[in-house]
Amino acid sequence: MPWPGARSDGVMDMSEKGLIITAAPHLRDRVATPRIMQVVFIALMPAALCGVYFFGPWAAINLVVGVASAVLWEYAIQKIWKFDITISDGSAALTGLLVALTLPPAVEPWVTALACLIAIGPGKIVFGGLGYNIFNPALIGRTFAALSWPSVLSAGYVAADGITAWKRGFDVVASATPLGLLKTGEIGATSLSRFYGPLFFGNVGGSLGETSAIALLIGALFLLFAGIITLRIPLVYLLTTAGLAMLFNQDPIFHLLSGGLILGAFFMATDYVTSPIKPAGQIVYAVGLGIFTFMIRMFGSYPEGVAFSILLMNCFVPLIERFGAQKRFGEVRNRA
Amino acid sequence: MAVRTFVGGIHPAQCKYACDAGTVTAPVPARVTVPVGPSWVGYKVLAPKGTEVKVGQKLADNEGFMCVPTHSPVSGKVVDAKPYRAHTGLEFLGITIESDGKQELCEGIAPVEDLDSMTPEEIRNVIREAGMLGMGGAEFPTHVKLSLPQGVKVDTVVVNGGECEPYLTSDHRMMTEKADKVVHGTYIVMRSVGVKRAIIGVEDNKPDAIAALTAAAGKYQGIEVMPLKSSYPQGYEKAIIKATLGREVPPGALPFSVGVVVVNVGTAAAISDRFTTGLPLIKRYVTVSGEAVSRPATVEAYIGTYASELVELCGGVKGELGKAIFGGPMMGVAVPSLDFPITKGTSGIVLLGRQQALFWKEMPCIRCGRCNEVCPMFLQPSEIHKYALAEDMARAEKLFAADCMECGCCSYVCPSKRPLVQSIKLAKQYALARRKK
Repeated sequence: MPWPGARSDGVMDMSEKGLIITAAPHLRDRVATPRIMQVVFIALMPAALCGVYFFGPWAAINLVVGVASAVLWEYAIQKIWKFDITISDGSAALTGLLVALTLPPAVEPWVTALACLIAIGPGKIVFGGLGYNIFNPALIGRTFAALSWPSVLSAGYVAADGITAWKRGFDVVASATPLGLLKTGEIGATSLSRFYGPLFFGNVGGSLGETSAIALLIGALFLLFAGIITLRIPLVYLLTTAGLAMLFNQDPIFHLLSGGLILGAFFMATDYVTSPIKPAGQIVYAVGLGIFTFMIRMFGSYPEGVAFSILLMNCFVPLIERFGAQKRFGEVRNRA
Repeated sequence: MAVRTFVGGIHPAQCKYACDAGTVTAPVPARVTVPVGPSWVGYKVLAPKGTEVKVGQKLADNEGFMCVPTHSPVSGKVVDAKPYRAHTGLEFLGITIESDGKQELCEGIAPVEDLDSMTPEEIRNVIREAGMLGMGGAEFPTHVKLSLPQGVKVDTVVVNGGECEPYLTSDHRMMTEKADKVVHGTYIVMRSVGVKRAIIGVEDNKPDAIAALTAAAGKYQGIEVMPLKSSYPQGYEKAIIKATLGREVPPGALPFSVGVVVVNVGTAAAISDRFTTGLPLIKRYVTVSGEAVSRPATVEAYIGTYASELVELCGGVKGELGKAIFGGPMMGVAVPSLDFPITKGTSGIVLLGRQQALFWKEMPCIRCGRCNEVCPMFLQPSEIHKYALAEDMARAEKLFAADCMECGCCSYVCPSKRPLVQSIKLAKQYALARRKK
């Protein structure tokens, strides 16, 4: 049901001509949910542009397919089932962007489009839409694709050649990801420090938006200064992973920079809907993320564990939220 | 040193348009309707219809402890004394007086000469007889605040100059223009509860008020002016105690449980007025401001003056009026028209333009946690809201819905524009009703 008097900009005028009467407060902050989605979208642009630069035209196509198809799927599903159309809240576009960024850059675009369908449909709308989903929708889409068409996905990892990639056009040169090489044992016997530079700047094999640490960190800084995210979850997540890497005699810097860790820590683990609200719960959640991520990388059969660990910890959020006594103004201090 | 404050809170745009404008003294209104009591049940009308009254004459009184008398702000004739629908939507007993413009003083209006020889009880009685109610908006009887239960000792009086609501400037003007009165009133309050220390807490966005008060406080022993951070709700009783003294008032308790008595600066000045001029509470500072007011200003107005007259005094409505608020925009009451008299607790009349008054469409909660961060009572507004909407008031109460002080910070920050405080107020009422049973 549309609201009576709803206007396209989301502002409502329910009064007939007389004075408007509502309960206090009569002022509201300018920050609105669609605005938050836009800011996160913008914060992901450096990473997206880096991906396009390094991986060539396929990356650009996949980005457009991801965003457009996610919005389209949301519109179609809501139209067919006669729900409110919510594409204007910006969350579908953001989900589509994240799906594209977490998939291989040269994956066949139909995979991106289907991953977006799963992300928007079973990942979000089935639960009741924005705010009600248990799992990060983008990662549901990505994981669905990764489990359904593993060979199509691995063929999508291409060399990050920058200008050369653009000159080749639609012909691609397959490339392995550093974590894949580590899993198969091709690297790791010697120092991994030669990977630091490529991993930091992004000229290395990997998913579309995960390879350039610097681009992701620029976006993350933007989110921090805009007050959209706090450092709590990302920092604890990264420190836990690095700490475990050191414990298991691995290269912590390599583990921090490689794979989807930075993208996941700053942009996916901090998703409001699927992470705990309470500060203490956020720390528990982030520690869990770090443990799962490193355990999958170290002992699992997959080279990368960020997506799985975020989905796993999403399950635990309602449980985490149950714990922890609530502090109450005036209670603790005066008892002591 | 960092400026003192409480934990949580928000920083809305201050919009204090009337801050630099001088105070306008309202002319004697032709007609006033004076609301009786905080609750008019049991009030005895001393001036029935047809009575000739003079300024300061008692119109109604009630023996009850929680009651204070009502006085006539004008001289003239009582034309009506009947229940009326007040701006809050509740019925009040209102005494309507047509003024004769002479402003003759009632007999017996005289200053108190021998303050130093009075006992605390005598001071409290003078305050009660002058009809003092909390002028910050809560309208809690001042003499009740100052009457401490047996065995309770307080050590500090906190005078609340944390006028944190956007637009409102009446306390600011009061502190700047009548700093002597505020300090003198503070001294009388200190005498009435027998303490030697008082702190006047003022937000640091009012440097002129801080300067004026500091100069005035020099004449007295034990009165300190303390700048506080400008943050909403700094003027909330428990917040300002936390900010000035670092003490937290326990849930459900009153400030005296941590040894503090809090009075508003306006109340302090009104008490001083009673002791120096003899006049009871018949006038107050009212800010008339907002985007839809032509010349925003602070007005010294008689209690019972109709809001429409005060708005006319400030140049009338500018543009299309969307919403009229009695009080500040964060906690005030939206009224259906300007045809209501101001009460002893009306600190402002805020008029918002139509565009500004339109409200945003609600979206689903995205669990961002902003409401938890700003809640000065450390509640989880989004959770209480969820249960309140599901009418699971027992669960809402378990999350301490009754601790809510209704500041509205949660609704203010909500990016999904959900009516958080509105639903929590409902849960709070259920919780309080259950406790009474």
